[in-house]
Amino acid sequence: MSYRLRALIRKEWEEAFRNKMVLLGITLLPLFFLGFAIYMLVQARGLPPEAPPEAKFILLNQVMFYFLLLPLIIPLSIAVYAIVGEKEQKSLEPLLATPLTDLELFAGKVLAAVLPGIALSWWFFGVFLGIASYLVGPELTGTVLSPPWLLAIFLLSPLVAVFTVTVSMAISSRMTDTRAAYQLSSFAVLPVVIPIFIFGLREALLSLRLIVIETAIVALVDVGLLFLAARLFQREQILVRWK
Amino acid sequence: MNSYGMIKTEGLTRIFGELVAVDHLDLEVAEGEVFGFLGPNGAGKTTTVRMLAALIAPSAGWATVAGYRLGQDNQKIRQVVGVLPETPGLYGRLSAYRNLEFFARLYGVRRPARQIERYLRMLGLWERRSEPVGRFSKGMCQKVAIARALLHEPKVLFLDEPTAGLDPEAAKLVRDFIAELAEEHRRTIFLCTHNLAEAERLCDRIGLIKQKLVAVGTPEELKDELYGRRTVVHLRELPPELELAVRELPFVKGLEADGNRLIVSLRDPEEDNPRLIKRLVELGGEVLWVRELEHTLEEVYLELIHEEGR
Repeated sequence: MSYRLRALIRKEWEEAFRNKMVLLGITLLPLFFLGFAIYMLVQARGLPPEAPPEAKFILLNQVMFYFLLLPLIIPLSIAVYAIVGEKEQKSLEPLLATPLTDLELFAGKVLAAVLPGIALSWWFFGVFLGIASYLVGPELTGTVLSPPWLLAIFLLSPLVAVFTVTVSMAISSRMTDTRAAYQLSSFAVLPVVIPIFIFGLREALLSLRLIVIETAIVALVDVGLLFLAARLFQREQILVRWK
Repeated sequence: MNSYGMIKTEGLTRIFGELVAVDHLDLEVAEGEVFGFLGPNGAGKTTTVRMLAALIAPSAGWATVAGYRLGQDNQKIRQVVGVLPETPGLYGRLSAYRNLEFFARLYGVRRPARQIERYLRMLGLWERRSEPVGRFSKGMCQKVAIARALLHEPKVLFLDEPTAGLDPEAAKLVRDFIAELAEEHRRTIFLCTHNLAEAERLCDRIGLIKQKLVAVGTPEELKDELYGRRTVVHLRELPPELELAVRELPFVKGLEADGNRLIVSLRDPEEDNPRLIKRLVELGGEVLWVRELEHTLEEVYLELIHEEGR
């Protein structure tokens, strides 16, 4: 990683994590999901003894679907601010006047949003699993971590984070207001997880087939989006066409 | 490097759709020169700076900056130029020190801490280095932005309205700093400004642009070119025969009479002024005082820009 890229990522994080709106975006909803999930686990623990053993398993499975939303939510506010924030501060031109290449600029902005998005998603999920292990027992928790879930958490989630970041950066390049960019981006990124949620409403357990198909589709879409978004991140485009 | 070679453009043009923002600009700026770039709003000043700083590509023509060719060596150009845009564009949540440290790393500055301290002290901001720049006044932000443009010791500085919006004290400090950079540190400075007095004071040469380059030269050359050098002679009285006699003198190019004043255009004022005064006295004129008729850069600017508009 070039020294310029490292410097950019560090600056992005310093700025983002001092921004109250970004901090709220990456903590509030994930904490709500975590709290809700723990509440459901407590309810599962309180199931009557005659309830079938699969009931806890299914309940735990259902709750875990919410954690697939985290790689959508967490990087979104960082990515939006990474673009609109620069416009609001009129800091793009001095940044572009440096030897930072167009590719470094693009990669830096993407990585600065994706990496915390993935790390925090995994962290929240890890906390949940730890608490679940305590509340419903490690055996049951371990059983839930089936191949579909492992694939969903460790492969699909990062791809969803990349999707979120590239879409929201592309939208933000045409907007000048942080809140509006955030709202529009939120709608734009939802389609990626809709199939899983529809499935989750209909079926109790996560299907490996669904996850494999979804992962492959999101990976292909990500490659296309990265290619298109990188073309937006050219100096001339930014100075002349970005609002 | 040739004496005229730090910035060189030929036919430099930039078109946005149907709008010709910069039209066949031919320019040369010497090393260590302070070059003023003047023009009305929308004249193409910022577009020219953006092209020369390798931010946007020209539509036609070519340019070299610090010996590097625009379009081929853009990365190298960005390494050797410093840019102060019209708005400082600092990161408000970061301190002055952190803002500068970030840019120092982007430029690959060898000893960033030393450079940052040097320029913050020079600009009187060292004591406030840890405060978020979002709390700084406009003048302080401008100083941090100037430090940012200088950290990597650029060969060429592009300054876009460096004193715009500053209070008189801050504006003077910035102007003095620019003058020091030019005189003591021999930087090449390309200064875009609407402040004609500032341009006249700081700049070795001035270029007037209104999409095209209208005129270029030292402030004195521009005034002479437009108005010539004229001598004003105040007499106690100016009888018509005296005026006629002066008009017929061989070294007098032109003459205007205004009450008891004669405004005379001479071929070579240094040679002809003494001869003129001597002849006036010989003809019976009582000379009260003599001075050169001065025009301001503002008059030159307005005259040339309006001429271009016709």
